[in-house]
Amino acid sequence: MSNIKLISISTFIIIVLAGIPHFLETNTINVSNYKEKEVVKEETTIKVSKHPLEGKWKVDYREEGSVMYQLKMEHNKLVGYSIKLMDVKGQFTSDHTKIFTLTSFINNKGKGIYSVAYKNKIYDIPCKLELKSSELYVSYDYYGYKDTEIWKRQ
Amino acid sequence: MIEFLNKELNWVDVEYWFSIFNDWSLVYLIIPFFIVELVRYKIQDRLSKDVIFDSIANVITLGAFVTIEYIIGILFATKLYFWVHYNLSLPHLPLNWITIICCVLLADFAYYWDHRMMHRIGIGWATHTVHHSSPHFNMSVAYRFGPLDAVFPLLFSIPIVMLGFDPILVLLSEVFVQVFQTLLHTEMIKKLPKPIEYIFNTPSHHRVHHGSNRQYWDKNYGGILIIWDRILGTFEPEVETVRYGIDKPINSNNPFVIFFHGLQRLGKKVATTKGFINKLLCLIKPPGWESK
Repeated sequence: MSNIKLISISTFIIIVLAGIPHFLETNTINVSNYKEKEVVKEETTIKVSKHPLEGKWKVDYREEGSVMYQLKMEHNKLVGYSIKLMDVKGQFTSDHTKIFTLTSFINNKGKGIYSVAYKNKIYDIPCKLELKSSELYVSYDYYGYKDTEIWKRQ
Repeated sequence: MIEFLNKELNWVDVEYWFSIFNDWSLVYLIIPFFIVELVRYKIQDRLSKDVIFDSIANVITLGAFVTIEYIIGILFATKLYFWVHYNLSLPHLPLNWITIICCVLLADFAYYWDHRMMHRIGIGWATHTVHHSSPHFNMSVAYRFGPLDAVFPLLFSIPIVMLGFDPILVLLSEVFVQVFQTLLHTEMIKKLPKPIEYIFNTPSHHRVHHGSNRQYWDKNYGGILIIWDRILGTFEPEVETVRYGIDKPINSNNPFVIFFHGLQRLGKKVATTKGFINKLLCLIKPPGWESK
C-alpha cells in the first residue's frame, strides 16, 4: 500500500475518532447554553446571571485552621484568591494570594489549576472540581500526593 | 442512547472500572491462565527447564521495563503529558462514555502504528526483538520487554492528548490495550467464531504475528482490533503451523542477554557499517537494511 494511501486512511480514522466526542460535546454545550439563556431571560428582571462558582468559600484544614477563598471573574476567566487565613485559635489575617484558575466547567464538574504552597514553594497542580449544592469538591493527585478538599459556600 | 453516552461520569468510578481490568486481571485471569498453560505443557510432555527459565527471564525483563518506565515518568513524561494538555491541546473533552470509547479506539490505533514502527525501523526492532525472541508462546511472553519499549509509545500517545483527551484517560486506555494484548499470548485458544476473528485481534492472529515463518513476518500489528491490519494491508491469517522466535535465535535464558541483545546487535551493525550517514540509516531503515 502506498504511503499516501496509508496517511490518508490514518488521517481519516483519527479525524473520525477525535471528531465524534468533540462534535457531541459542542452540541451538548449549545443545548445547555440555550437552556441557560432561557432561564436567564426569565430571571432578567430579578438578577444578572453569574458563574455558579463565584462567591466566597471556606475550607477547614483540620489541625492547621481554615482559609476563606473568593472566586471571581477576571478578564472572562474565573480565578480564586485566598482572602482570609484563620488559625486553630480563631485568629485571622487578611490575604490576597491568587490560588486558582478555572480551565473548564460543565454540568457542575470542571477542571482547574490549584496553586498549593508546600515548604515555601508554590506548586501548580491540575485539579478536578465537582459542585454538589453548596459544597465544592476539589480533588488533586500530584505524584502520589492525593487529597480532596471540601469547600463550603459562605 | 446519545444522552447515555454523553452523560458526564465520575472519575472515581472510571478509575475503579479500569483498575478491575488493567490491574486486577493479573490476579483473576492472567496468573491462573498461565498456571493452566503450565499444566498443559506438562500433559503434552513439553514442560522443560527451558520453558521455566524462559518464563522467569520474561518476568525479570518486565521488572527492568517497569523501572525504566517509572524513571521516564518521574523525570519528564508525566510533566510533558500535562504540559501538552494545558498548552497544546484542543478544547478539553468531558469524561463520558463516548470520550472513553473513542480514547480507547485511538489508543488502539496508536498502538498499531507504534507496533508497526517498532518492526520497521532499526532502533525500534532493536528493542522490540526482545519480545519476539522467545521460542515459546505463553502468557509470560507478553511480559518480555526491551529496554526502549517505554519510550516509543510516548510519540503516539502525546498526539492523543493534543486532541483534547485527558492524559490520565489516555494512559488508562493504553494500559487497557496492553492488557488485552497480554491475553492473546496463548496456544490454548485455537480459533474463535468468524465474526470475532474478523473484527478483533485473537490468539490465532497474534500467533501469526510471533511467527518466524517468512509469510508471517511483519503482519498483524493490531492491539484490540485486527481491522486496522485489514484496512492498512498488514493482515495475515494463521494457516501454516507457527514457528515462534526470530530468524537469528539468541539461544539463551540469561535475562541480561535477552534484554540487551537487540541493542547489542544493532550496535555491532552500526559499528561495522561504513560512513556516518549509513550508520544513522541503520537506526531508521528497516532491520534487514544493509548499506551498498
